[in-house]
Amino acid sequence: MRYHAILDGVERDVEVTQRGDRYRVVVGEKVMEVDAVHLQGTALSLIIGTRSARCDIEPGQDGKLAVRVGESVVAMELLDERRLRLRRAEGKFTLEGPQRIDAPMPGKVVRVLVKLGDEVQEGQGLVVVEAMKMENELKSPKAGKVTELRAVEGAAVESGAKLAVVA
Amino acid sequence: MKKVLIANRGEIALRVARTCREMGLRTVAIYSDADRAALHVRSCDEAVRVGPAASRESYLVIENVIAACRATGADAVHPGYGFLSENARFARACAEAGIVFIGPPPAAMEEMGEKTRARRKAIEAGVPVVPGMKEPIPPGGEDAAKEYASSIGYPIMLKAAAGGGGKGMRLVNEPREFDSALATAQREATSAFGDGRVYIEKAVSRPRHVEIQIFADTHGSCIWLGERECSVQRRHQKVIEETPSAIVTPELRAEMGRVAVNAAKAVGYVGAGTCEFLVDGGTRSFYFLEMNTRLQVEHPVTELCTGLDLVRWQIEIAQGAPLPWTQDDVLRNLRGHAIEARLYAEDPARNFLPSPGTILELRLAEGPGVRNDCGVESGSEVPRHYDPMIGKLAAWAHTREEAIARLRRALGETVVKGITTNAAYLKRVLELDEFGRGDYDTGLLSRAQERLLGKEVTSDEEIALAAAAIWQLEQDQRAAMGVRPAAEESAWARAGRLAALRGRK
Repeated sequence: MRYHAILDGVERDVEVTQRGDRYRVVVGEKVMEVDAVHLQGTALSLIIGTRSARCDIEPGQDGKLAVRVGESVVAMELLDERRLRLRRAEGKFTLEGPQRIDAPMPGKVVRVLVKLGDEVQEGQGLVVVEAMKMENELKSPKAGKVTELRAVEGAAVESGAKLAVVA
Repeated sequence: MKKVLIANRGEIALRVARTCREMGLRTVAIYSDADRAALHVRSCDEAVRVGPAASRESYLVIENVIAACRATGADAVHPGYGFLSENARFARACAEAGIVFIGPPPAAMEEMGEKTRARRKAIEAGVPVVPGMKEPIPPGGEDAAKEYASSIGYPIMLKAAAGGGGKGMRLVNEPREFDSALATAQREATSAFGDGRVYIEKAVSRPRHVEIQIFADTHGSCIWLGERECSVQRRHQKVIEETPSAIVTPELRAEMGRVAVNAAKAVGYVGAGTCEFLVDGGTRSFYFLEMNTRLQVEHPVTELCTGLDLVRWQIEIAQGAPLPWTQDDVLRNLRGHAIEARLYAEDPARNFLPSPGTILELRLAEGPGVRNDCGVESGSEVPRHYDPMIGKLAAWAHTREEAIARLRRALGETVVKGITTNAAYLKRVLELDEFGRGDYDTGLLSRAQERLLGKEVTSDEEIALAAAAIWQLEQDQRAAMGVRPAAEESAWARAGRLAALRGRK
């Protein structure tokens, strides 16, 4: 099976073949013969040659993974062929066009600093969300006009809830 | 004393409950609706609901906490830190209800608890203080306050009159930031302490934060238990604390200890207290900041270097026992070096945004010289309503160097899945050259920001890729056979159980 990993914007191919308890993993030029044991939950024990690695997979959303090897954590996206094609079709992330400002965590809207239709500068505060007793000001990612304003002072919001749109 | 109600949540509630159990005391937990499934509820013998999720409607409601004491027959209350711990009205309400408040007398709390009064008291006692307002800003006094700020010169600090712990505290660099900083500080103070009053202090540049732990009994004795350096701070929240401080000599320790004891005696203090000082790293002159009339978050480092249980002392002194140690006993028993790191549910890579959620798996560090004070376990939910600190990890060793290496190692063993924590960030703080040399001040973290948040360099990237691919292959094979992935299944099952426990779907 061939996977495509994206690490910090860099794509790397990983090919894995299972042979009983053992795996052959090819990353670029490097070939690894891996003795892998799947432990409970998301933990793995790998022995490569004599190198022993305690690994933990922390699955996120959309194929995102945080892979812990000993004390280090490597964040990556792991995609198969089909999802890689979809990803490529989406194109690059850009600040052109309308930008959504979402609640980055569950919390409460304590202040709305702009009105619908306001012209805003890049970096200007739009909405203040409080969570865990700390206030976090969400800033506009670009200069433009507030074309949509969903945030209401005093309202509880879930993570990812749309608060405003700047176009 | 037979039964202690612990008027708090999280790690400190567990910490207090442990000592109570050792002393043969029964324990009562209180909880809000958001905390029904919390670990502290399960760690006590009894538990009473005190209200909905918002702390203003639950943990901060004096009547509800007193009612919980009555309902369970608790004859004493330990307030922990934060919440009602520095609320003199609560201490009085306990006394009126015939319940022992494990803390100082209300009068001493009032003298020291309100920061501006404490400053006046310190000035009277001849203790040096940082220039600042003698009263909190009165309602409608914003313009006068702004003028005052200009008169002592920027940068200035806005501080909550009722509080500590960095809540309601803002550094203001120039006049145009004043209005919004004041509004934010007042709102944070109201939310954290139920008291929105703030005051102005001149900001001291490159200061070190060193505090002295004191203990007083009801028989007129008062001693100090050494210092803690808490200069590793982010947004005025302590992140790493250690004892002894790299800049405190035996002479300076004795001098600061003497001043702290005098300040405590001046208000008739009883129990555990902490005098916070700013120390000029160059001249080593020190200024009194405030006195915290409660147990501190970072008390474990003092316990590690003295071998004491400060909660046990608090409980014994509250029952009228004399201090078991003299000042000489302290000097004879102080040994080694201890460092504590605060584990926060926050994401350093996303500007330290809080990261509430369900902890799918928690692995804590073990081994020589390591102490965990943790308020959560695997399956726990970290609610969005409260402070993001989920636990503390401390290490002790004979030398500072070994203690740093030990804490670094222990942080590497700490694994929290399901939410994001600052564990890796803490490890990198310990690796900073300035920290290793002991040459740092309260500006360390903001100056080192780029080094602390830069990409992690690892030689194990290929192993990580192999692990990910092998894991994904297993997931894909299970999916092809119509089996739900193991990780997903357990996560949803746990979330479902937790939701059912909280009574919502």
